[in-house]
Amino acid sequence: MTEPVSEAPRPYTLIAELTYRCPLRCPYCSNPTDLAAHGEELGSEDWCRVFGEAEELGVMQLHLTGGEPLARKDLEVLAKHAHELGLYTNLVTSGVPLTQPRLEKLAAAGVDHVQVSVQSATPALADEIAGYAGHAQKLEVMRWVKALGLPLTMNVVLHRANLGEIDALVALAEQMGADRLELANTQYVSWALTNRAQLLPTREQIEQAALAAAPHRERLRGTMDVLFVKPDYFGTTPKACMDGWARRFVQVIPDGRVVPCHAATSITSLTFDSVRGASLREIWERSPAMLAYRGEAWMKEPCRSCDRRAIDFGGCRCQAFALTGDAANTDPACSLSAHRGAIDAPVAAERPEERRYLHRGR
Amino acid sequence: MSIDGPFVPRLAKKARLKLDRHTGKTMILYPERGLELNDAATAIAQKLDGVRSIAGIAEELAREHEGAPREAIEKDVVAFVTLLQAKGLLERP
Repeated sequence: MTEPVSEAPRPYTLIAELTYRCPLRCPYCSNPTDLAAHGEELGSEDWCRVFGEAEELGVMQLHLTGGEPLARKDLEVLAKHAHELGLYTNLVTSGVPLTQPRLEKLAAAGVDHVQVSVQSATPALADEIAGYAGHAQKLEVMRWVKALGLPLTMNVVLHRANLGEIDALVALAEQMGADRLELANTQYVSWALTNRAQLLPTREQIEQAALAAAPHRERLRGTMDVLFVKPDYFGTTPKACMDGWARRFVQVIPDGRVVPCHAATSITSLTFDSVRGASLREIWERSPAMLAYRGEAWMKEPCRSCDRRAIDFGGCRCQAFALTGDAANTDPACSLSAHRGAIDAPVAAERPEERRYLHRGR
Repeated sequence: MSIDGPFVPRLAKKARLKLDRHTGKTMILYPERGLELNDAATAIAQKLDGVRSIAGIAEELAREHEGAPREAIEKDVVAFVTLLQAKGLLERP
């Protein structure tokens, strides 16, 4: 541990990845590709302590996610504790291993909002993408969520096989009574990078999908929030990944290590400290991995003197590491990056005709 | 729906008012987001109960802040409720 920085930023959101276990095997999963190399899951007591420490730090939003958080038998206990701390508690789930009575218990425990992932508006395609026949169950779960009066987000990760379905996806979300629809283009890290040739759309597909989403956004304003998250591969500026490294979001992964984002353990040049050995505050304020890319001091050119450095923070560190070998490099999604070719080459490449995903393991 | 004097707004079920103990400000928390309110907005937000109309809320606020011009307050209430409506933070009628 090094000396504390005088003023660490205040995190508003804790992303609690309770487990990496999941019945689905989506080829763009944001969980690590080396799942077997990860340690044992934190117990209930540790999680409850971490929630309290997060609230102390300023966190107001909690995401109970995974993997599939429902794989944890103690989810009700964790949700209840989070509710007692006054955290706005989001359950991020595939919906697959859920029953109506369990959802009722979770609602009673204090879950504020449920996000259900949907892989496609076409049942057979949805099940093919997920590597599991769960689509029909997901529709049931969304109906239960609304029947309980809970706010519902339907989340869809977009890629080549489902980008043409925008109208149908919006129609499905409306039919389910969703309050929010997240249409999020794949971010090519972790499993999605492994499957990039299969998942990466063409520029025409992206443009058509954006055009298709825009009128729905207008039409449904005030009724259903429609978010269309553009992919960085087709733009000239990088994403403001996580609103900056270890700035607004703090994340704890199943084995207790504290990271700034889902994919950060892919940056093998960093060592992440665990809440088993220190408080969340100590780690947030002082651990070398949190300080590594916080603020601007780490930046090299062209980021260091760039007008956009406080807007996009140099983009995604995980993407910089994966595609350039150095996490302190400018994200190659930036047109000013010397490594932009690492993005342009797969965009320009022929797309394989046959769909053959490498599904994540369980 | 037109947002004016007779309109009766109710904060959406997904939105929760919460005092941020770190800043002393009230926030509207909703899925994955938070909106920090100033004191005037907080006073309005606490009255969005689906019972009181915008005119009624303005009337009450004018009484609570003696000497404050009722018409100007009603304009503020309309503006804030319109913002909430655009963010999907009002219960659907």
